Amino acid sequence: MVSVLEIVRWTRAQSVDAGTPMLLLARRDRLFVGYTKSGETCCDYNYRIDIDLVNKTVTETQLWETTDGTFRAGLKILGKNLATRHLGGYGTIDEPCGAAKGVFVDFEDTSKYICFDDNFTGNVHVSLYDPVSNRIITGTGAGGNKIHVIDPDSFTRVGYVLHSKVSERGNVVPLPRDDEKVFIIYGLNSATGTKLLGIGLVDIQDIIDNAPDHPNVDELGSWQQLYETTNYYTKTRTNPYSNGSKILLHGNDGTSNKALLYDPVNNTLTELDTNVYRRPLQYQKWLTVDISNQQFIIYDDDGITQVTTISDSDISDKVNLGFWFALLTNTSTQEVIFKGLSPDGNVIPWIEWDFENNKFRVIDLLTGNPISIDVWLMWSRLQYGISEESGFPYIANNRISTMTINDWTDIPTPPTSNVRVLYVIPKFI
Amino acid sequence: MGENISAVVEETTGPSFSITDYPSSVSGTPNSTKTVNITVANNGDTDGDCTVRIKDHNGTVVAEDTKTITAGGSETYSLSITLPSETGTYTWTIEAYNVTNDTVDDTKSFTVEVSEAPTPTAKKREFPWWIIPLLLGLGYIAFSGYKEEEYKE
Repeated sequence: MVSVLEIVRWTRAQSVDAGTPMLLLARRDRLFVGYTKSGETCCDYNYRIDIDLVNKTVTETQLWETTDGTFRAGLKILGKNLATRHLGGYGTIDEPCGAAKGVFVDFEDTSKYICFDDNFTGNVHVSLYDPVSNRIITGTGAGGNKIHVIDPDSFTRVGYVLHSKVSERGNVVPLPRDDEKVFIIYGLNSATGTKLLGIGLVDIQDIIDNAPDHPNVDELGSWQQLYETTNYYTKTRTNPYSNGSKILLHGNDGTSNKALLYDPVNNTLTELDTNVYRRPLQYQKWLTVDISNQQFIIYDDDGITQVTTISDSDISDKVNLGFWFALLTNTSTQEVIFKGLSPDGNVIPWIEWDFENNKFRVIDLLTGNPISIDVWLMWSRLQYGISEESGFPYIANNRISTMTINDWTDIPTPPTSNVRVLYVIPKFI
Repeated sequence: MGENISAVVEETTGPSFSITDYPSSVSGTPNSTKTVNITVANNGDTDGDCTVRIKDHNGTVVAEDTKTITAGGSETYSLSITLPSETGTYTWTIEAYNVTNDTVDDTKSFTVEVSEAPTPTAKKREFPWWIIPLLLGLGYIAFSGYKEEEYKE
C-alpha cells in the first residue's frame, strides 16, 4: 500500500520563515536545498545536506547567503561519457553577483558561476540539459523574459531567446516532449494591463542555433502557436509541469492563483482549483499536499479525481515536493523532515545507473538493496534533474513503455540518435 | 555508476560484422568437396549472432553456419562446399548476415575453378642410343668384308 516513509530529519541551521525548496537531490545521500525567507527581505541561504542514511543524521554546508532569492532550478547532468555535473540557478541579489539578478552555478565547485547582469530578466527557473548540442537551456522565474542557452563546459552563456509579447516581467519557460521539440509556456507577470498566458511549440535545435542572435522564440521558423488566453496572467511563476500526459500550469485570474490543466491533444485549458501545489508523480498521476488536513493526495490524470490520500501528522506549515520526495518544514521549530513515497510501505525507490555495463536497476534509497518494481520508461532529448522544478517529458510520440525491474536490467536502445535521454519512473499506484 | 531519475544513453549500433579473411579461389574436379575457412569480425559495440552463407553462381545458398561473436572479437567458420559437376570457372559469394539487425553486413566473392582430372600421358620411349655403336660396328664389319673382296679381285 502506498505510503510515505521518513529518510532523515534535522533542525536547519538558519531561522527563516519560509519552506525548504528542494533544489536538487543529487545522490541518495546528498541534497541541495534553500533556507528561504518570505518576500524580498534579507536573507536567503543555500545549503548542501549530506545525509548519513545509517545513523539518520545530516551535515549542513552553507554555499551562499544572499539578500534575496534562492536557487530552485537544480540540474544533474548524468550519462555515459559525460562528466556528472550538479548545477543550479535562480535570481539572487548580492552574493555572488552584486545587484545583478540571475545566476547559474556549479554546486560542486561554487567558484564556477555565471551572472546574468540584465536586472529583472535574468532569473533562472527550470533547467534542462541537451546532450545533442551539449547545451543547457533554462526558463525564467519571477520576472524574466529569456530562455538562456549555456555551455556547461566553458560555463558561459552562449545566447538567449525572447518572446515578442513578454517585454516586461514575465515568464518564458521550456517544457520537453518525447522528441526534438519543446513546449514554450509564456505569460505576463503583472496584474495591470492585459493578462496573458500562452503555449507554443518549437524545435530545440532552432533555439540552440539562433540563441546568439537573441531572436523572439515565437518568430523562429519552427514555431507553432498552440494556445493563448487573456483570462490569466502568470503572477510570479507559471510553473509548468507535465506528468507525460497533460501539462499543469499556474495562473492568476486577477483574484486568486489557479491550477490549470492543458491538454495538448485537444488543445484545451481547464481550470482546476486554487490548490496550485501539484507535482508529477508518475505517468498520468499527480502528487499534492493538503497542509490543513495533514495529508498527501494522489490525483488521477485529470488533476481532479483523488486516487488516494496518505495522512501524515508530520505535516506542519510548509511542504516542498519534487517527484516522489518531500521536504516538510516546521517554521516554528525549524525542523526539516525529508520523506519519500513508498509503493509498499517498506522501500523508497531510487534509480541507479551502470553505464560501464549499460545497465540500470531500482534500489531502496534507505538501504541500497535492489528491489523489484514496475517502472515507466520515457524518452526525451532533454534531461531534468530531481528538483521541485522538474517534471516528465510530454509523450507525443508514444515513446513510453513499462517493464518490471528485478535487478540490473539492460538500458534499452534509444528511439533515435537525438532522442536518447531515458527517464525511469517507478509505478507507485 | 550514477543516480538520477534520467540519464543520457549512448546510441548503440549493435553488432556489426565484416569478413576479414577468405580464399580468393577454390579449385577441384567436378563434384569434389572442399573446406573453405572464413573469418568474420564484430566491429559493433554489442555481442551478436552472425550467419556466414556461401552462395553459388546461381545465388543458391550451398553452405551456412551461425556463431555468436563478441563485440570487438572475431570467429573463423569452416564450411564444406561441393564443386559444380560441370567444368568451368564460376564466381561464388560469401555473405556475413547480421541476425540481430536482419542485415547483410558484408559480402565477398571468390573464384571456383572446376576441371577434369588430368589424363596420364604415355611415357616417351627413349631413343635406343645403344644401337648406334652396334650399327656402326655392323657397318664397319660389312664395309671391311666388301673391301677384302675388292682386294681379292
